[in-house]
Amino acid sequence: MRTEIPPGTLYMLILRTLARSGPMHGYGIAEHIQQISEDILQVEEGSLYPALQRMLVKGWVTAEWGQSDNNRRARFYSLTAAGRKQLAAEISEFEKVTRAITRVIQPA
Amino acid sequence: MIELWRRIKFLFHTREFESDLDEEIQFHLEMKARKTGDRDQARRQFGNVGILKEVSREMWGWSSLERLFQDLRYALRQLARNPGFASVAILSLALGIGANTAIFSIIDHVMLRLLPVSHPEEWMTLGRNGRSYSYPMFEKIRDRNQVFSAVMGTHLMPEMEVTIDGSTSHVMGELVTGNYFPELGVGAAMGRVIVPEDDRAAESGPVAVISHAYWMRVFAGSANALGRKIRVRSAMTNGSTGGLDVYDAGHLAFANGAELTIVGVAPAGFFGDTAALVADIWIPITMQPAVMPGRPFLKQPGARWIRMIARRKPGIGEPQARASLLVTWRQIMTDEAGSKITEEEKREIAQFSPDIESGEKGFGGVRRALSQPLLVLMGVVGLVLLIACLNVANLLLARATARRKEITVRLSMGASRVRLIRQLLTESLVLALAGGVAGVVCAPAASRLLITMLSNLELSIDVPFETDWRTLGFTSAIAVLTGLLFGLAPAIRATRVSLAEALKDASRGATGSRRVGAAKSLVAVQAAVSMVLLVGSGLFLRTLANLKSEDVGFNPDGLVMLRVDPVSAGYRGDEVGRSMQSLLEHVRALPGVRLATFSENGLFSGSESGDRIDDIEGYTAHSDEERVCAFDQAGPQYFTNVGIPILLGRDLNERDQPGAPRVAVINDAMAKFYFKGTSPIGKHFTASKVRLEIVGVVRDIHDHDHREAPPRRFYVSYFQPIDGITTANFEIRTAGNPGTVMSMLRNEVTSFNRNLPILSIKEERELMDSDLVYESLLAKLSAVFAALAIVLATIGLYGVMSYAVSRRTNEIGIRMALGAAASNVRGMVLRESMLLIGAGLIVGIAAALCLTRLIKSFLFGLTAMDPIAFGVAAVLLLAVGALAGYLPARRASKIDPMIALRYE
Repeated sequence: MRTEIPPGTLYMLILRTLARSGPMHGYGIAEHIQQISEDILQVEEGSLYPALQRMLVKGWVTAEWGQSDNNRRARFYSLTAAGRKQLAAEISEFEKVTRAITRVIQPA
Repeated sequence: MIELWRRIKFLFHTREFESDLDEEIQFHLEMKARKTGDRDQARRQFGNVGILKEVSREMWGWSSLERLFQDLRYALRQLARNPGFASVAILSLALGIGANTAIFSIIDHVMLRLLPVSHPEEWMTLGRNGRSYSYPMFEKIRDRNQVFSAVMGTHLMPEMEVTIDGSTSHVMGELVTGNYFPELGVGAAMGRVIVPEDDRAAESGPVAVISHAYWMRVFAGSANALGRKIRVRSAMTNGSTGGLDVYDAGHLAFANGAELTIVGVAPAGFFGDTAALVADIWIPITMQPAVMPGRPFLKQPGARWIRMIARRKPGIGEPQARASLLVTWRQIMTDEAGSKITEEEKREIAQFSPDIESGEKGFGGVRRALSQPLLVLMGVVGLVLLIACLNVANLLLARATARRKEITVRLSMGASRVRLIRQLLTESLVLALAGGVAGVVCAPAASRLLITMLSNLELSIDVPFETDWRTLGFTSAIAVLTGLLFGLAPAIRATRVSLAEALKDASRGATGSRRVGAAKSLVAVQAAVSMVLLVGSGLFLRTLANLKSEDVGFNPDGLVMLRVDPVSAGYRGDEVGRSMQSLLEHVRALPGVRLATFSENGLFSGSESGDRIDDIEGYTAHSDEERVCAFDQAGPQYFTNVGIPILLGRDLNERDQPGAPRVAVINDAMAKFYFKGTSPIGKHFTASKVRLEIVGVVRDIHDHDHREAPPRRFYVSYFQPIDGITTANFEIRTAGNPGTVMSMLRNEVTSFNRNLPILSIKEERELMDSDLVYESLLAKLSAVFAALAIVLATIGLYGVMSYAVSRRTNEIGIRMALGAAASNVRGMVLRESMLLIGAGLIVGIAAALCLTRLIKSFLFGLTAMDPIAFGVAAVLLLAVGALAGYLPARRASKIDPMIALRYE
C-alpha cells in the first residue's frame, strides 16, 4: 500500500536526499527516501522521473552518466547551488505551514 | 532567462533525451527486479512507461508546441491519404470562405474605412450629393464659423471629359479647394499637390493632380506625366441651379473646357473623401468656370454644387460644433435676406437644418446606397458558408466512423480524450485554413465581379481588393470559426466510444446508428437552411419581376435616350430652345425614328427638378411640404411623343414660345391634390416667381423611380423655362433595331454641332434597369446560392440515406423474406427521406418567417410572408428530396433477401 507523498513535498524530499547523500541515481533516490522514512513514503516512478526532469529544467540539479555500484551505467543527479537555495526555501516554507497546522489541531 | 536557454538547448537534444530516459528506466527496472527477484512484478509496479515518458518530456515546456506540430503532421498525412475527401471539403469551404471574404472586403471599404488622416474623428461633412451649397455660401461658412480649423469644398464630376493628345476619355474628376491636400496631410508621390496659391482667384491655377492609379493606367508610371497638358470639360451632374441668371454670355472661348497642366501625382492608396469613389483627376475649385463652360458658378448664390468637409478645432466636440454651425449658418442666411426679410423667409431660416454629419469615414453617399444590400448579401453568404460547414461535418462524421478502430486503440493505450479531440480538431482546422487560403485566392475575382454588378450608371464604384491585414484577419477568423464549427461535434462524437464494444469485430453496432442519427440531423439542418435561401431568392426574384413588369405609365420598349449639354456648347437663353428644336428636327428625319421629343430631365436619366409653388388658385397650403412639386421642362408634343395619355386639356406645343402666355401641364397626382373634384384647366399657380396657367392634365408616370408613387409634377415648355436649362434629353421612339439608330444619332449630333457634348446615348430599358441594379443583384446572387444550397443538401441526403440503407441490409432482407414487396421497401425508405426533408422544411419555414422580416424594405408588390414564394420553395425542396431519396430506396428494394440474410 503506497501512501501518497504529500503534494508539493516531493521536490523537497529529492533535494534533501541529494544534499545529504551526494550524487545519486533515480532508483537510489527512491530507495533512500523509502528507507529513511521507514517505508512510509514510497515514491512512485511515475512522479520521480518527471520531477527529476523538472529539476533539470530549473537548474536545481545536474545529471551525469556514471557507474553504479554493480558496474552498470546509470545517470547520477547532483545538487547545484541553486538547488541548495531552493531546498532551503522549501524547507522553511514547509516548516512554516506545519507549525501553523500544528497550532490549529492542537487540543485546547 | 537561463532556464529558457536550457529549454532551447533541449530542443536540439531530443533524441538523446529519449534514449537517456529509456536507459534510466531500464536501469531502475533491473535494480527493482534484482531486489524483489520478480521481473514481472517490478514491471507492473512501475506503472505505465509511456505516460511516464510523456510527462517527463512535458517538463521541458515544449509539449503544447510539439503536440501541435505532431497533430499538424498527422493531419496533413491523413488528408494526403484521402485526397478525394480533402478536395471536396476544401472546395466547399473555399467557396463559402471566399464569398464571405469578398463581401467583407467591400463592406470594409464602403462602410468601415476611416478617412486617411491622423485623427479622422475630428472631421465633419457638410452637405452631400443632392444637398450641396453655393460657393459664396462656402466662403461665408469658411470665414465666419467659430468651430473649424479648416474647411474644404469639393465637387465630384463623375463623367468628366478629359482629352490628352487628341484622344478623349471619361474619368471621375473632383474640384477641390486649395487647402484640400495640405489639410488632409496628403503629399504628392511625384511633383506637387494642389496648394492654396492655386485657388487665389478665378481660373488662376490651371493645374491638375492625377491619382496614382490613373498615372499608372494612362502614363504607365512615367515621369513625363508631369508638365503634360490636358483638356477637361464637364457638364454639371451633381447639384442644382436656381434661377435663370446663372449662365452668362461670355466664356465662349472656353467652350472646349479648361486646359490644365499636370503638376503632380497623388500617393497610391489615397482614396479621397468618399468611400468607394475614387477621383482620377483633382482640379483647383476656382477653375470651375473653365471646366464647366457656360456655367460660371463661383459668384452665383443660386448655384448649389459644393459639399464641404471640415476639421473641428481641438477641444470642440461634435454637438458643440453642430450647434455653433447652425447658429452661424442661420445668421448668414438672415444677413443675405437683407433688411426686407419676410415672415416666410424668417420661418424658412428657423426651420433650416443643414446636412452636418460626422466625417470620420468621409462622405457617405455610396455608403448610404450600398449598406443595406451589402448587409443582406453578407447574410446570404453566411448561410452558404453554414451549408458548406454542414457538408464538411457530414464528411468528417463518415470518416470518424471509418477510423473507429484507430481511435479506440489509442484511447485504450492511455491517450486522453481531450488529446484526441484536440488532434481531430487540428485536422478540421487544417482543412478550414486550406479552404481559407483557397478562398482568399478566389476572393479578388469574386469581389471584382460583385463590384461590377453593384456599379450602375449613377454610381460607378471602385473598390480595390487589397489582401491587407484586415481582410486576412477576417478570413483567418472565419476559417478558424468554421473549422471549430464543423469539427468540434464530430470530434467529440468520434471519441465517445465504448471501448469494449468497439474493439469487437461487430462492424455495425451502436456507433453506426449514432452516426446515422447525427448525419440525419445535419441533413435536416441543411434542408432548413436551403429552405431559407430558397424563400429569400424567391422573394427577391418576384420583387425584381414585379418591378420590371410594373406599368411605369409610358412604354419604354424601343425608346432611346440621347442626352446632350447645350450650355457647354455655348448656346444661351432662347438659343438653347431653338437649337434643340432644330436638332430635334434633324433627329426626326433619321430613318428608323418614329417619334421624337425632348425634355430637360428625361426619363430614368438620373436628374430631377423640384420647386415650391405658391399662390395656387383655389388651394391654401398649410405647410411647405404641401407646396413641393417636381417639374420638368419639355419640348413640343412631349406627351404625345412619349406616349403619356392626356387626361384633360392639351399637350405642350410649338406655340408655347417666349412671349406667349406662360403655361403648364400638370399630372394627375397634382390635379387631385390641389384641385380635387374640379377641373384644373384655366387655373393658375406660381413657380419660381412665374405665374403659370394650367392647360392640361396628364397621367402619372414613374419617371425616375420604380418604387415610389409618382409625386406631384408639372411640366412647362422648354422654350418658356422657369429655371436655367442644364441639359436636353431626347426621347426617341425607334422602329426596328434601336442599335442602328443609336449609332446614327452620334453622327447626327456631331454633324449638327461639333462642340455639342453628347453626355450619353442609351436605351431606355437600360436606364430603367440601372435603377434596379440592387434588386437585380440580390435576385441573381440569392438564386445562385439557393441552387448551390439545394445541390449540397441533395448530395447530403443521398449520402445519408445510402449509408442508412446499407446498414439495414440485414433487416430489409428479413422483411423481404417475410413477404414484403419491393414497393413496400421502397416506400419505407422513401418515407424516411421525406420525413427528414419534411422536418428540415418545417424548421426552415419557421426560420424564414423570422428572417424575411429583415428584408421587408427590399420587397415590392409582395409581403415578407408571400405564400407563392414559400409554396414554390417548399415544393422545390420536397421534389429534390424525393429525387435524392429515390435512388437509395430503389437500391433497397433490389436487395436479394438470400444475400442480405447472410450479410453481417
